[in-house]
Amino acid sequence: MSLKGKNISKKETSSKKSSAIVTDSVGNYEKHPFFVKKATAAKALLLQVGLPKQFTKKAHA
Amino acid sequence: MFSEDKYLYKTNSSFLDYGFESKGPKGKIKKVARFSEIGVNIYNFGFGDLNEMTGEISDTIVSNNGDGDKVLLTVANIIYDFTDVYIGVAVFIQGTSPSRTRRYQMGINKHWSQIIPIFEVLGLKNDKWEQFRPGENYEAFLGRRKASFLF
Repeated sequence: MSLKGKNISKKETSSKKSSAIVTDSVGNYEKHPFFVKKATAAKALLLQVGLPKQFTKKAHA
Repeated sequence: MFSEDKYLYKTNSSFLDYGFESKGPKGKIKKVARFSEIGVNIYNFGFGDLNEMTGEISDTIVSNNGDGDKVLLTVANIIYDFTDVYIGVAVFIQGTSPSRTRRYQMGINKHWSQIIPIFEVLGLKNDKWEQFRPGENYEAFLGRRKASFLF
């Protein structure tokens, strides 16, 4: 299964503001072991079961 | 999206990390969420309780703070907001245990009439993806905004 394709960045696509309060007091958890572990497990599961056909396409145009 | 009772939540400038406080009989519990990119336009939704003293995050603690529905509605709003910013991406959700996954499923079931016009939701069953059907048990979920709801 390939997960390759065109990636979408927030800057390319964002057209609306989140209704959340935006503040630097919310930490960046990108490298937090908890989330890294969860992401790794999710990725492994998707590699095992594959993605549904409609989700292997690029994001909506 | 879900205008019912929910917590005020915060995010940082990346719109990938979110936090809010659960308030109940057990006091204030800091909840944090992170959307981690796991494939092209696919993000894992991670969610747990933050211990501010140690920095540890856990999704196995049963907080019993009497606000499960409010927490779930807040989570739903976070996912909605995230897909407003990261347009066209899919979100993968799986609980840390079958019972936690069922909790997400019950939330989807409960608010299905609000979700179905906006999101395409798939459930993973016996290692196969299928269109989410209320009442069925799934091991994980994938959700994405429907094209007509991309702004």
